[in-house]
Amino acid sequence: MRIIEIGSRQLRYGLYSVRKSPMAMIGICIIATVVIIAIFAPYIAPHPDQVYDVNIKNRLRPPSGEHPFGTDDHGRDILSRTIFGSRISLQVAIIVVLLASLIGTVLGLISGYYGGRVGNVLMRITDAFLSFPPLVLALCIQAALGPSISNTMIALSLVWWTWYARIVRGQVLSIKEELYIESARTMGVRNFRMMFRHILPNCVGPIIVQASLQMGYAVIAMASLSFLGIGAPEPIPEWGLMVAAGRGLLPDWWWISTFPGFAIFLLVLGFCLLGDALTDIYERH
Amino acid sequence: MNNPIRNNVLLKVRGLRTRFYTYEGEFDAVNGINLDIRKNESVGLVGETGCGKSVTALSILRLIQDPPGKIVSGSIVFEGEDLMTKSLDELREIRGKKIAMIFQKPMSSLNPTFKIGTQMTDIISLHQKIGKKEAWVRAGDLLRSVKIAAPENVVNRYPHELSGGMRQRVIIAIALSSNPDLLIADEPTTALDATIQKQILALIGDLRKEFCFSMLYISHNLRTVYNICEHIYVMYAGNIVEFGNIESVFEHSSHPYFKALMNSLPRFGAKEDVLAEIPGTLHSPMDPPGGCRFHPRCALVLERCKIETPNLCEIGQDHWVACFRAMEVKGYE
Amino acid sequence: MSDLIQVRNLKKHFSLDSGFFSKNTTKVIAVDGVDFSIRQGETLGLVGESGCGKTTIGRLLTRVIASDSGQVIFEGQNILSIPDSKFRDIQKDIQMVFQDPQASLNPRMTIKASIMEPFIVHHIYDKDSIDSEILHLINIVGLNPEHLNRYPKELSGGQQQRVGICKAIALKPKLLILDEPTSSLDVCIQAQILNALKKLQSEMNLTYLFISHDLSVIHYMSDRIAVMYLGQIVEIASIQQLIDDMFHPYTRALFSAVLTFRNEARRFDVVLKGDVPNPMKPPDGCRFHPRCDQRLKICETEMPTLFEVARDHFVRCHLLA
Repeated sequence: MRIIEIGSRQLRYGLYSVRKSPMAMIGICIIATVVIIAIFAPYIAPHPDQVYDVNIKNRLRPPSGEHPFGTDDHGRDILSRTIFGSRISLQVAIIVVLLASLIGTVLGLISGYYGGRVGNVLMRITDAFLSFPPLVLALCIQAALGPSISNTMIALSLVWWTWYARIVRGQVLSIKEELYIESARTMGVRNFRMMFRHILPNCVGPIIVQASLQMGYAVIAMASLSFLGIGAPEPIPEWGLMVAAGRGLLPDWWWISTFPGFAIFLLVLGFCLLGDALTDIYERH
Repeated sequence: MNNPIRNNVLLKVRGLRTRFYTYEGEFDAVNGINLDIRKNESVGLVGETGCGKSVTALSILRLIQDPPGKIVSGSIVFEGEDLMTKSLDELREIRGKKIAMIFQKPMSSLNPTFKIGTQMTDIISLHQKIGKKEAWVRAGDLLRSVKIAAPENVVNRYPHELSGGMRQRVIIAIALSSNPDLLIADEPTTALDATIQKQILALIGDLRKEFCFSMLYISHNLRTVYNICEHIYVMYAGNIVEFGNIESVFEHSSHPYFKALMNSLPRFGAKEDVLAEIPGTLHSPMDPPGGCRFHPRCALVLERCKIETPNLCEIGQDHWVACFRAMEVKGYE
Repeated sequence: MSDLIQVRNLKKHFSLDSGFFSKNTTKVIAVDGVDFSIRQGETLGLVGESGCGKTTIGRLLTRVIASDSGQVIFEGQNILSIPDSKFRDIQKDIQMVFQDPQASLNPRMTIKASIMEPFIVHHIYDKDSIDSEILHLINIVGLNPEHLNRYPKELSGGQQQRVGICKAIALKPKLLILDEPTSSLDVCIQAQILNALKKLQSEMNLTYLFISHDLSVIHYMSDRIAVMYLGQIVEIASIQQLIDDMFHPYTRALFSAVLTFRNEARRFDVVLKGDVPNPMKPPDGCRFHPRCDQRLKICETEMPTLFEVARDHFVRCHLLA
């Protein structure tokens, strides 16, 4: 896509900057590892059949050679469930951020470019959505449509697009005054093309930074909602749900909450480190 | 020879080499140069973008940020003492007091959130170690000396409320507040309108007569330098290629680069059809040509120029050139 | 040669709101009744200092900003009053080269994309011939094919400005407005660009409006010069006439401000007092009078009009009335 046309020189510079920062490398490694685990889950998980199936005889086994993360209340292998859970978390992170950024960017572009009444109205709508507590909105949606991962993703997107709208609007307001925009206008470029071909590619930096950070928030949000029972329903191996399941069994059967909890921590850490690294790269640009 | 005061030399730079380390490689922005500024003398440093003149100025005051740049060799002897051997505290005593510097964009040097008076008195009381009341009086005197008629108005304003010319006067006033021996001015009038530029240059001339300081004037504008400096150094790609007394250098410009530069200026008088051009462009700093760095663009290039680097040779009274062709004309080896 | 463009009584002011609670808006008069014409194939130099309105005139002619009143007759029609859709038809005939070469190029577009843009926008894009067209264009302005895949910040100032010129001439305009095209460039690059512009003008039969504050450059490039001060033209004549007989005190001050070399003759040496005036509060009467050392009583109250003091040489000054 033209918008993400990165010259090889830019890519090289980006990689060079990333290489110089150990934190960034760690972040990327973590995420890459989780992505690989998610893709090859059926082959990596020791007991893929045990992700959903209940096996009472195998309940509450502590970590051992056969079950490195132990088994849970229903006798399912926690390691396998954690591995498959990575798919859910990644899916949520990517889809929510994709939806939110798409909606938010387009609205922010229009609001910033046209300004005036259109811009103001859009901004007030943005403010309204921003004031909504995401959890409450998720609750409402679940109440209306029933608990599921997709509903949770919709709820999160519906509130989080506002971040992008604000960022992009701010960018557009200043980019509009740049000389190259005046040059394009003199040449006869019209509004639609001006917004998407000329202005948008110059906003990409902060959008990407926000997106990478927000992926971390998405994972936490999903886990939190599932923990509260208004996210993913049983028996989906969502990490937050798994933590919730082990809540009443602490501290004796500690492994049920601990390992999925640690997985959440690791993935979110990875996104945050990546976000920091991207911030540095775009600051220097 | 050893007593600089006796010889009247205020600043003696020898073998200054400033290197920059970037992800594409390292290069010497200043390639081992020598520079002399005598007491009460106005010296011009000219060259184009990328020649290293601003880096030279910053190097003299050891203001080069490390990373990415570093002075890797050379001595900067100011009033008998080598600034390269000084500690940070000692340098602070010199910067702003004995050697002052003014920059190109008047807006960037002043803090937009403080009034002019506040900024001036802060600096004055810091450097001169006097109380605030005295500092305000001194500020008023300084503003009058830079021909600001009503200092009471100016001290209560913010920088953005003043015009470019006024701001530059304020900056000059601040620079002169502790009576420096040397003023380094990096393109101070480039951003100003022509008529204001002329005012500021006239002002600087008057101030030099009144306060007797030396000046290192850095610019790419040959007309300005000709009118304000007594001595000139011409830089190209990190090297000094020609220097000397201003009349000699301009009347008998000998280095092909400088000659070509003079010829490419649009002149008044007979209307020309075409301006003389210097072919090619400045090389990438990572990839300097062998021998004389100007040789790929030189119309008078010799075979020798491609392999050997010419040294500066005296070709006239107070007139030195680094060029084999110029030396040939004069009958040197 | 007939006139390609005639500007008549062009006016533009900007309003600055003085605050949320205040009903007053301050008006800054940027262009205050400007008249000039440019003949086909000619270069008119527009010179003045900051606040004189010369850049605003360029932007008014390309309709990037809207004018308040006045007419601009271009090829028989007043381009200020025609609707946007009609203006789009002739938009490619009036193009502009900008002052800051790097800022005028979109940092996220390759050079090739930037140069292709005019073709795409005006639907003259022909997939088969576009590549050779672009190669031909960059050849005329002195760039190499390897520059096409680069981004603006990878090019030098001179190369960036060549791209700017390329974009402007891509659709073979009739009038090219050059807004300080070499102000931010080094002297030897300036010489290259100015020579290239002259060559282009004769090859493509272009008409130039050359805006600059540098008199030596204007002298080199222009056939006629208009001197502006605080939104008005104070003197306009052919180059030779102006050099021979500089009438307006401001024109003399401007020329004095050019520092000369020894072998350049100088006829006046005027150092202006005072600052460049505030466009929000222009003086009464003749706008230049506070800084003029030859002012008369009448200059303080009455604004002089532009009148013909010699053939095709106009001045706005009471001293010559």
